[in-house]
This record gives sequence, structure tokens and C-alpha cells, in this order.
Amino acid sequence: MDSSEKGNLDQVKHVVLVLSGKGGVGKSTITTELALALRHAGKKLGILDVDLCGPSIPRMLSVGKPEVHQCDAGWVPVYADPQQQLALMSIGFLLEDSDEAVVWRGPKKTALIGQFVSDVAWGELDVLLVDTPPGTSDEHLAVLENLRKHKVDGAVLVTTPQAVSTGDVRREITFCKKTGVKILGIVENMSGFVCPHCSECSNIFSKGGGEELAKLTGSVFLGSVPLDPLLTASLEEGRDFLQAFPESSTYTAISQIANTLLSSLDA
Amino acid sequence: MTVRAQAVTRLVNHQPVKDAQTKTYVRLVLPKLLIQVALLDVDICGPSIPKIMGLEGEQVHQSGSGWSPVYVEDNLAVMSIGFLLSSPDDAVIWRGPKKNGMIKQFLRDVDWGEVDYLIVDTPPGTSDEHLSIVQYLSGAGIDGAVIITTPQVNNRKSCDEGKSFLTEVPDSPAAVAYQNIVQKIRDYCSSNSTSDEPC
Repeated sequence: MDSSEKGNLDQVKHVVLVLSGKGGVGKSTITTELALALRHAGKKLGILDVDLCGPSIPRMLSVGKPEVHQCDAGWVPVYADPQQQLALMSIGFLLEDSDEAVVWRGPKKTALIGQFVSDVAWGELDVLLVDTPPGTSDEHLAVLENLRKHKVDGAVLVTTPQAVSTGDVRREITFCKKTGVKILGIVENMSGFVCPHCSECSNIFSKGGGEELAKLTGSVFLGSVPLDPLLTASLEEGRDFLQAFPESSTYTAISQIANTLLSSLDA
Repeated sequence: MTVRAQAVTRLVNHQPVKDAQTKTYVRLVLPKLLIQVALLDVDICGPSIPKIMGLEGEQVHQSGSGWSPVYVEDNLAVMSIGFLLSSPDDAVIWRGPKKNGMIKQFLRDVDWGEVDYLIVDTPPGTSDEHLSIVQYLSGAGIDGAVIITTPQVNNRKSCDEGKSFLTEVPDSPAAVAYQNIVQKIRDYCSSNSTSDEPC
């Protein structure tokens, strides 16, 4: 390995993959909220968005369409805050047209991910969260191959309560076992619905599938996050939900998950 | 290549970009219309169709005329890699070229019989599976695509990407968007809310 590759990830203390079996479970949402919660806890964060066909994190963090610059060590990440505690690199930054579809086959995706992993000048980070697309294919293998030289602490698996989703997460668990990635825990998203008018958390969708799955597979259950329209609206507008609604039960849920994750990383 | 279905008169390429799991529920409507329907699951890494259609544990059989799909009803045949896996824990960790090969086999080697509608469930994104299915079916002609979404802006953007994909690939006609989930929440709140404010 050359010295610049070693340098770019060398000061990153922990690397955590965020995986899901199926799309639409809110993986990017969980990645974003975990990053914001860890930042509120005083940590320095990086997010690598390798969902090449559906990069949504730039919008969630309200960074828009910044220009990406290069320095001697590689790409300079984009900072989502003036204090530079939350760094982000996403394929979304490299697209000219925000409505443009990235229609690439596996080999091209693999090559770009390789660049992302080794050529971003992250600097010092406490945690680098890697947001992946759903599934177990080119992107996931590319991330692991390129991170092989650096330690991957493990993966957080996101599911929704429905059995269809948990069924897909079982395949992700197998992927982790086959590739030697430690499972840091399972997060059940969209677990219950918080109506801002009724102020009740109702279970119009099912609940508990993620926790059952954790028991079944001997994994840690990190916690559940409800379907909260205030959270959804914050993400659409690129606002920090945790700063805007610190009293909400959703805030408590996300913070607890972040703290549990941090404890297991520092252990 | 030729699709083995003897009379594929219409093809609807179901093209969700950001996957909402509930998109697949839409497909339950067509079989009631007394037409021959074939449902092909090309989400190779995340095959959900067997579970959603209540076909978990079903196996695919091979005969002289090819693989036989699994029949939910006499007029609804289903094929998915899920039927080839021996356990719900089995993961398909394949790169693009291998996935493409599987899709080709599904189209070439499955004995679909006479089909009025071939519906293809695709994974989220715009990648190998989508390019391949459009390419392989270009000879037969694809009628169109249905994009399933939920109301969030992030998903609407993904729909734009899906539509953009369809215009980039030749012979992919216009798409229709369908919004899901929101009515369920509205219905629940309007009948259960104790608040005076409308939801």
C-alpha cells in the first residue's frame, strides 16, 4: 500500500458499515441521525455515501451541491457544519445534474468506490460511517476489499418490523459472517408511528420484528426508532432534527442507540 | 435472445428506484383480472417475492421443457432466485456479471407457457439488473414501467432518477408514479384520533 492510502484512513479510529437487506427501510436516515447524535456527543464524524444509484445523504444534511476540491492527499470531504465535526463524501457531489441517474454496472461502481475509500482526505475522525445501498453485491464487496487494509469495527443492520424486511436482514447477517464483519447490532426503524397531532405512538404497522430477529440470530438489539413525520420533514429540509426536537421520544431513541453503539466501539 | 413465453403480448417493467417494500403488494391486483400473468423477481440479492406471495419453501422443478415456475393460481406464475435457496439465511453475494447471467437464465430457461403480462420486480437503484432486463427484453418490447414511491421528497428525487434512467435507455417508454402508505396513515388517524386537529 502506498503512503497516501495509509495516511487517509490512518487517523480514523472506528469504521462502521450501515447495512440493510432491502431498500426503503430508512438506512440513510439512520446513518444521518446516528452521525448527528454522535456529533452532539462531541465526536468527530465522517460519512461515506457509497449508494451510487441513490445518494440521499447530501440533501438530509442540507449541504446542497458543493464543489469538491482536491488536495495533495486526495479529495477534500465536504463539511456539514461550520465547526467541521461532520465530514461527508458522496457520489452526489460529483453529478452535474441532480436528477441524473447513475446507471452503472458493477465494475464501474467497484472502481469508483475504491477511489472513495482510499482517496478522501478524512483527517482525524472518531467514527467513519459507511452508508451502503441495500443488498449484498458489488458495492459491499468493493467497500470491504478496499477497507481490508484498515480495520472495520463492524456493521449496524437496519430493518423495519415487517417480516419481509427481517427476512432480508437475515441474508445480510450471513453476508457479515461470510466476510468476517462483526455485527454491532440491529436497529428497527419505522417501529410504531408518532402522530404530531395525536401525540401518541401507535402501531399501525407491526412492531418487534427487529428485536425478535436479534434474539433469533444472537445479535445485539440496539433499539427501535419510530416513524415520525417531524423527523421526515427535518430530513427533507436538511435540518438537524435532534437540535430542533430534543424533547421528542424519537430523539431519546436515537440518542440511546448512538450511546450503545459508542460503548461497544470503545470497549 | 428469445423469451421463452410463447405469447408474451405485453411487458410491464416495474421500476422502483428507492424501494418501498410495499411496492410489491400492487401486483396482487392483476391476477384477479382473468389473464395469464407471469411475475419475475430479478432482485437477485434481496428476493422478497416468495415471502410476499406466500410461497416460501416452494421449489422449482426441471423438466425437458425447462424450469417450471411456481404457480400461485392457475393464471399466476412466479419465478425468483428465492426458490433456489435452501434456507432463509442463504445470502446471494454476487457481482454484476453473475447476476446478469441468472436473469438471462430466468428469461431463457423458464417454461412460462402462454403469458398475457410479464411483470418484472426490480431491486432499488439503476444498475446491472435494470440494464440487463431492459436489454434482454428489448426484442420483445417493454410496454412501460411503474415507479412506486412514498411522499417524501427524497423519494420523489429518486423517482426522477428512475425516469431519467428510462429516458437514457432506448425503447423504455414512459413511467407512472404511484404513491403508497400515506392513505393508510390518514385512514388510521381519522378514525382513531382523539385530537380536534385533522391529521
